[in-house]
Amino acid sequence: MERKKTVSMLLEVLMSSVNSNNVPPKLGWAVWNSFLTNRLDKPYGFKSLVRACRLCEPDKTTKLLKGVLT
Amino acid sequence: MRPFFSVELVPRDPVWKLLIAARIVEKNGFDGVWVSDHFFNRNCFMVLSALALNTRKIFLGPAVVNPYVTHPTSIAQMTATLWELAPNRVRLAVGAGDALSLKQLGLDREKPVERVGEAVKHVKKALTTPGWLDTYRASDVKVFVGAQGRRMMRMAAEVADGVLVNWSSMDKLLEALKTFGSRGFWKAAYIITSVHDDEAKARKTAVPFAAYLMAGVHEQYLNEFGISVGFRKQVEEVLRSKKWEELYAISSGDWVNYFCVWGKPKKLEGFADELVEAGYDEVVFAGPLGPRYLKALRDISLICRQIRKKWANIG
Repeated sequence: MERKKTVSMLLEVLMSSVNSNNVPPKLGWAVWNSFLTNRLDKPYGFKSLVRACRLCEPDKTTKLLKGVLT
Repeated sequence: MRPFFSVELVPRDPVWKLLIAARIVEKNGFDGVWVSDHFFNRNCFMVLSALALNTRKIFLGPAVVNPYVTHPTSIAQMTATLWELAPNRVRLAVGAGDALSLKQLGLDREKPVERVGEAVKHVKKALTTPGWLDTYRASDVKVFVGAQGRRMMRMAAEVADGVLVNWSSMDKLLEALKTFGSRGFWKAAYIITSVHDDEAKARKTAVPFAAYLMAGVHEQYLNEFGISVGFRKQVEEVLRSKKWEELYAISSGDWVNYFCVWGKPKKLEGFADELVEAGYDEVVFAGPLGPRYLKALRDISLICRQIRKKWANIG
């Protein structure tokens, strides 16, 4: 449940970012594929999503993940 | 008639991200997406092809393609090809294009009303006349005109199937309706939108979009809004150099309100409801939508549902 909530928060960060061009196409397509198959909460999908978010919004992503972990 | 609601997608974002957005738009019950067309972004028809293969119900269309950059025959050819990928789900909007972008390409926006009118006629003929294109006949594609000026709107009413009125000011949108009279052709309000519970954040997100729109409007409308040509030049310069902090510094004042609907969701609900009540068949939510994109989409989707429910009860 917690992972699903984190995924939706990360997805909001990614979709609201104006820096999406920082995400290389291969990584972007990995996020899309995991989104399409509803697997963003699975290890590979989650890792792709976090990497994409870090490239677009490093500070917001770090803050968000810290908030989730603490 | 049931009001139609759609969302604009801007291909400044990568295709994978636009696909995610389109799936969420579809899931949230919107009727369609319009993909904007600027030479410096990704190609709208290529993006639409990807969207066609990854959506099932929503209408798809470029808004707006201009005949200065793309020849009308190419517009028709790409539209027919898109129709093959998404049969009976394609619409098309043709317009004069963004003056600032055309200037960057060294193109003169000469006789815009005539050029767009000719392009619409040409595209419609190519799509409906047997033998013009050796493709499936995409004869159910509705061709719209993207318009701001009165002459353009009058021309649209004569030659097109519908119009996208590119204003976000209620006065201008209501004034536009008078141009069309009671003629039963499709009228869509194309409004730059930014919603958030924190109004200051909503406004800040709206500013660059409002500035682009303001930079492209005819001088006559600047005068009507009380905006000086000198100020427009200043904004144009800031946009060209992409100095966003400078843009925010000069964005106080009312001018943003003429080019964008920003604020809390309740305010947007009132605005969209008034448009439908006044006679618009469709409301297109364009621009940033809000500082939190997915939250804004959900809020707007809720607004649309409320308005639909109200209209279903009236019907």
